[in-house]
Parts: sequence; C-alpha cells; structure tokens
Amino acid sequence: MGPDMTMGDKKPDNPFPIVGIGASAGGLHSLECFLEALPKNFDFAVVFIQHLSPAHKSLMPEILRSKWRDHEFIEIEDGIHLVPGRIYLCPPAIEVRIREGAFRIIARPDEHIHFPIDEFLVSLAEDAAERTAGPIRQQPALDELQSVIQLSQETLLEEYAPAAVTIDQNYNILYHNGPTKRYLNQPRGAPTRNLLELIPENLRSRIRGAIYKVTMEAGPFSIRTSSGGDEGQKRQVSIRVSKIKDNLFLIVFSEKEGPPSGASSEYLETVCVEETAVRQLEIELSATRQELQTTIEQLKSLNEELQSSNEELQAANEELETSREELQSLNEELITVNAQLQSKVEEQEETNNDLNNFLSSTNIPTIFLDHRFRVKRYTPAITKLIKLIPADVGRQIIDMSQELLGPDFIADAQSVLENLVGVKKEIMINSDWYVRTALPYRTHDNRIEGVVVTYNNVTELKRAEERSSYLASFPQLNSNPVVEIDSSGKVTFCNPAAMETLESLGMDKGDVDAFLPPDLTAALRDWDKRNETTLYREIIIKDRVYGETIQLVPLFDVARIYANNITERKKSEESVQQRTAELERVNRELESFIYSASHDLRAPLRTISGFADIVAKRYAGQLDEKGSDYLLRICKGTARMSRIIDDLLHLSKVSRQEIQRKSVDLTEMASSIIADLREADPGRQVEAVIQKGLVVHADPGLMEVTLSNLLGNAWKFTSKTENARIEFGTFEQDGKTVFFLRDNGAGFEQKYAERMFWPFHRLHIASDFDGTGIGLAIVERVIHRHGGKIWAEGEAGKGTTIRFKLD
Amino acid sequence: MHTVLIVDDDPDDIELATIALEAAEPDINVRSALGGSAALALLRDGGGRPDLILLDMKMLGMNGFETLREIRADLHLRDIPVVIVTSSDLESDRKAADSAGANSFLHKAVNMEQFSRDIKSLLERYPG
Repeated sequence: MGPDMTMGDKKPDNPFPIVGIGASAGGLHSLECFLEALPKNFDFAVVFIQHLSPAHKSLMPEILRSKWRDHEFIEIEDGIHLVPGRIYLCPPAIEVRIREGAFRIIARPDEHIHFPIDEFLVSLAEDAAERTAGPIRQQPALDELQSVIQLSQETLLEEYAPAAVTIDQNYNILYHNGPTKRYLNQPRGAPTRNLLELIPENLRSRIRGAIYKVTMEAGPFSIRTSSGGDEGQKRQVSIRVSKIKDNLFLIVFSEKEGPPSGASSEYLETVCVEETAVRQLEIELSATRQELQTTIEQLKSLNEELQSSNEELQAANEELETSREELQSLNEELITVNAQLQSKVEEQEETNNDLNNFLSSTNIPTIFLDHRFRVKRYTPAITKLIKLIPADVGRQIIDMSQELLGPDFIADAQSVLENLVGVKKEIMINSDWYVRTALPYRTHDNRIEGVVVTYNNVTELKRAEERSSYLASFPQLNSNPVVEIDSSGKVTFCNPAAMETLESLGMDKGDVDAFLPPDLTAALRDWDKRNETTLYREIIIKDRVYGETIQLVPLFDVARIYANNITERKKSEESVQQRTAELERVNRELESFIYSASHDLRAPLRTISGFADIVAKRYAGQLDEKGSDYLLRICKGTARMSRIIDDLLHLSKVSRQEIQRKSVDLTEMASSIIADLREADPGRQVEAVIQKGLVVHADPGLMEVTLSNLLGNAWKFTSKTENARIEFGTFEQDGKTVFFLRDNGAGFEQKYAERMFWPFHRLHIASDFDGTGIGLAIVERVIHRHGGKIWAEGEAGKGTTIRFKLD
Repeated sequence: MHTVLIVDDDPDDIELATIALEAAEPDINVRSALGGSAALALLRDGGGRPDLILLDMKMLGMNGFETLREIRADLHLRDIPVVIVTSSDLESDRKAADSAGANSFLHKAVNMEQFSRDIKSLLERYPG
C-alpha cells in the first residue's frame, strides 16, 4: 500500500496531542486502567503499542471494543492520519512510525531483537515533539530490567531520564536509554555493542575497574571525569556503575554542568586542569592503585607457585641424571653381551648350515614333531610320502593326510611321548615297504620335546626276500603242467610237466600258449587293481580237457597257471548226466504206466467185485458153506486190490502233482487228523501230545497226506498198546528244524528201517496190522518233493519214531 | 417212475448199473446203448424219451464228451439231464465233465454198496 493511499480521516488542520502507550504482552491490564480513567470524549489521539507474538493473531481489538463501546478503536494501517478522540491499536508483526501526522508501517525483520515501543515513541517525538505525551509501561525482552519512565516533553526526558546503558559481564550493551550518543562513539570498522570500544580509550580501564569493584562489593560505584566538547566547553561527567543483578550492570552517564544540550555528537576526553581535575586524578589514581594492588597480589601468588614447580623440576632433573648414568653402564654391559652373542650366533649359524645340509642331503624321509604333533622340521625326502611345504611348519600333523605317513602314525608318536621309548615298525605305504622309526626328541637338557620319525625304504629288501621264498616254492617238480606268464600274457616259464604234455600231444615248446585260456587278456586287464585273485578255467587242447587254476600275483607282475588233465573226469561226468537224464525219463514213463495200469485194472476188478457181490446177495442160499466161504474170499481180495490200486494212483499223483507252497499250520492239521481218528475209532484211548506253533512253508494238500499217513500209522500200530501215546513235535539239529512223530506202539527191528519206505513193503503181517505198504512210500515221496529227508528209528515192541525235515 | 438210458461200451458195466438202478427203484424203466453212436440212434429213433442219461466217459469209438456234445446240439434232446460216469475219481475228469455241459458226475465205485448208494441219490436228484 503506497503512502498516498490514505485510509480513514484526512489530516486534521489543528495540532492536537498524541498519547503513545507501550506495553508488553501482559500489559493489557494497565491499558484497561488507562481506559477506565479516560473520559468519554477526549481531544487527543491515543496510540497503543504492544509487544505481541508475530505468530498469533491479536484478539485485543475485539476484547477492547466489547468492553468500551463508547470508544472508537482503530487498527493501525499504513497511511492513516491520526484523529483526536480515537484509540489506535497496533497489530502484531509490524513496526509503526509516525510521519507528518500519519502512520507508516514497516515490516519487522525477524532475526533481531526489536523494540517496537521505543522505535514508535522516537518517531512520535520526532514528528510531533510539541504535542506528545505518553505513559509508558515498558517491559523489554529482557525482563531483568524494569523501569518506568515518565515522559512529558523531550526536555523532561533529558532531565529525568539520564543517558544510561545496560551491559552484561562481557561489556556488551543490551539496552540504551536516553541520549547515550553523547558519551558513546561508534568507532571505525564493524558496528559494535561493546561498551569498552564505544567509550573513550582513557576511560576503559576505569570502567573495567569500576565494574570489577561493583562485582566484588555489590554497591554502586561512581567515576568522575571532565570532558571537553567540540567548542572547547568543559563539563563534569559522572559515570555511575551499579549492579542490577548477576552479570547485568547499569551504567548511567550524568553531567553536573556544561553547555546546553542539542549537539548530538560530543566526545569525552580527559583533561588535567585545575584542582578538581587533580582531585579527580587522585581518585582515579587511588582506584588504579587498588586495581594494581589486586593484580600484584595475584602475580605474587602465581610466582610462588612457579617457584615451587621449579624446585620440583630441579629434583626430577637430578634423578634423571642418575638414571642416565645407570643406563650408560648398562649399555656398556649390553655391548659386551651382544658381542658374545654375536660370536655364538655365528657358531650356531655354522652348526645350522651343517644341519641343513645334512638334512637336505640325506635321502631318508624324516619328520620332526613337537609334543603336540606340530611339524617342526622335515627332510626334503619326506615329500616322497607327504607333500609338505615350508608353510606346514607349525601345523598339526593331525590336520594333514596323516594316513600317508603309514598306519598308526599318531598312535606310535603318542606311545613315544608317553613311554619315552622308540617305536620301530615295518609298514607299507603306496606299495613300498618302510621301516618307520619313531624316537623321542631330546633337548640338550635331556627334556623330551617331541618325536622324530624316520622312514627307511626296505621295499627292495622285502621284495628280494619274498622273491626268494616264492622261488623256493616254485613248482619245478609238479607232475602237472605249470606255466607262468607276465601281465602282458607272455609266457615267462613252464615246468617240465608242461613240456612233456605238449610233447605227448605232438606239440613243442612253441605251442606253450595252448595252456592260456582264451579270455586271459580280459582277466589280466584290471589285474593291478586286485590284490591276489584265483581264477578257474577249463580249456581244451586237442582231445583233452584241462582244468586250470590261475593265480594272479600282482606283487611280481605274474600269473601262474596250474593245469590239470580232467578229460576222464569230464567224460564220466557227462555219462553220469546222460544216465541221470535217462533214469528220469524211464521213471516218468514208469509213473505214467503205473497210473494208467492202476486205472485200467479198476474196470475188470470192478466186474469181479460187482458180480461177486451180486452172487453173494442173490444166490447165497444156493451155495453150500464152502462155496459161500470162497465167495467171501473173492470179495475180500477184490476189496484189498481196490485199496492197493487207490494207493498206487495216490502215489503216482503225489509224484506228478505240482507243488504249491503256502504257510501251513501243522499243529492245527495234526490236531484235526487226530480228532478224525478218534471219531472213527471211539473205543480207543490214545494220548496225543502235539507241539504248539508248528508252521511250515509247504504244499498244504501233500502235508495233509503226509500227516494223515504218519498219524494213521501211529494210531494203527498202538492199537495193541496199553496207555497208547502219540507225540508230534520238533527239535533243532545243525540249525534246521527236525519234526518227529513218536509212538509207543509195535515198533520194528532197526535193521529194516530203510525198507519201511519201500512200496508194498510191510514189516508186519496183514493179520496183525492192516495196510497196503504204500503209505510210507507216499510220505517219503512228499518229503523228497519238498527237498527234505525222512528216516525212522525203532525197536520191536518199543515203538517207532519217524523224523523228517523239509527244505 | 424213471426212464433211464445207460450208455457204456462195456456190457458188464451196463449190467451192474442196471442191477444198481433196479435195486434203487424196482419198477424203473432201464434202457441201454452199447456206445455213443448207438445211444444217439436210439434217442433219435423216438423210442421214448429218457428222464436221465448215464453216459460213460471213456468209450471206444465216440466217447462220452463227443456224445454229450451231440445231445446238447440236438434241439429235441438238449434238455435231457446227462450224468457223466467214469471209473476215475480224478478232480480233473470231474471238471472236464462239468465244462462239457454234464448235469452231474458219477464215479463207478468198485464197492457195489457204495455204487448203489450213489445211484440212489442221483435218482432222487433227478425225479422222473
């Protein structure tokens, strides 16, 4: 907004008083008191300036308007002319000035401390000096300072508000009051607030002294001095220093006499004239003296401290001197010792060289270990066994591939450390033989600090030994051909028997390869991977067959062939095979014949049996006693023949039937058969003892046939025994389960034990015990078909035990 | 009253079976044919339809299975019950008879009492 764009009333023609009122943020109450006393109509203008936070909107106008409705409150805007009878309020965040009876608003820069009330009042005084009055309640930013200054005219201001400044302990001026510019002069250079720089040079030490004194004594202190203006006028200036509170001082300048004020810039200067001046000087001198005295005292105490420090330093120096001398003598001793050491080192070096040369020239792998099996030293030859590098010195041998050092390496080293006795062992590493010697490592003072292990390669020696023993066993005198070949298959030796064999076959030495099996090359191919292998081959040379045992001996890179003429054996084996096959065929034919013969015999038997039966029934009355008896014998004979035929068919069936193995519970099966026998023959009292849990893997039908026959026999042959007893169970023999079926019946003579199982062979006459003589033959067939075996034991009158085992 | 046809190539067996049938049912009408061809001729001649045919398995010439096949192929004869008779008691023969379409299977027991019992139960199973 431009200065010409005036708002509000025009500038009034007649001059009128303007009352400027300043207050801090909490000054509202004071204003209210003022407004209370203000008449309804007044002929002056009131301007109220308040310290307000720029960040908030002021509620002042609203508050005032609501309370004093009679008065007219106006918020100051740029360019408004002041009019009597109105109260002007200053909004926050601006600074207000008065120029030619109108307000001018200046934006407030933020970074400095502001004194909006001061600034306004100064501008008011300048603009309307004649008509300004204002009660000011001023509360500056530093609330340490509180004063109320009553203004009426500018002259009053001068008289009752002398020039004064407030300073802090660093002489920085915090606040100016009154016409301080008379006494203070801004020097050249950057603007300063420091009082000592603003006052004349000759006053500086006195002001400093005065402040010091005020600090010490708390009471005010005054300095008097004369000053001369520009026009040679002299005036007496009194500077009163008083303490407001800690670190805050009020310096008040006042004059006793002198020219009227008005000049805005005057300079103080000291002039030594007249008695007053002398007295003044004396006072100053006395003050200076006092200051000096203080300084001297301080210096004295400082000096004493320095003196005592000096003495201490002197004592220390003496001690150092002594130490230096001691060091000197020590140094001389050290030089002597050093020289001795030097010569020792040289000796040591020589010994070391000898040792190193010895170690590197010796071809014996040697390794030195400390007591924790860390590598201390080794000979280059050790790298034949284990790839050691200088960086391995200090490493634990356990961390490395210690198996390269032979079996039980750590165990032996441990034993040496524990027993302090060397360990010597013949070991094999990578097909080489070594004598490994582990000895305790003794220091010069006979302490055991580790282990020294050496390896002596004795492979050659060993091989020579083995070779000689091998040669000693060489089969020169073997009557069978023996041929030796190397790994390439080349014959390196053949014994006399081999030569004879070749001759007998019409061959000669050049045909010795005839003993080599055709697949020998393949057998030799991965030879060195094997330790020792024996192969068996059969080869044919002309019309002979040779069985050859081939012994691979990698140690000597040879293979030995031991040949055996097995021609005859082969021939007989073949004929046995042929005969067996023939027998099997005949057997099968026989089985088949038995089957069909038995079957075919049934038809005529049935004719005889059938018609005999009819004759017996229909024509019985026409026969005499003898005829009836013969007819009965025919019937019995046919019945018996029928049973034989049935059994024969059964036997044949057992031989031909395919075996189907399943899990069979023999305990249950035997119990069931015994139950059937009891039912069929309820008059018998037989004790049957059957072992529990007899389970086999066999053909269930055939096992039923077996048990029926065996239990039926036992039942039958105990029919004449009191307290008949049948026992079925198992026992272990050579890791196999053997079943037994024992009875206490008629028994038999042991010499007939084998015949029991022959078909149609009976050990008892039919009148004693009925039977076809085929039952046990069937049983034997079943057991054989299960890959098992059956045998019998007995004694006449003492019972029978049948034992069998299954495959 | 049953009418039974016995087919067998052995006159002795025909005789024994006849006696067993007559023993089981005194007023039974038993007819017989000596072999498969004779049986088929008799059946097709229209000389009376039997209630049951006892057909021997192993016969010279046309055997029992062949004869049975002919009977089953003939529209007029196919529903006459046929019992295969054999001297074998093998399970395999029993199965063969079953799969050839026989209604039943009879074993020629050597023991005549046993045979008569078997005949009797057969007649009860196939009432006239």
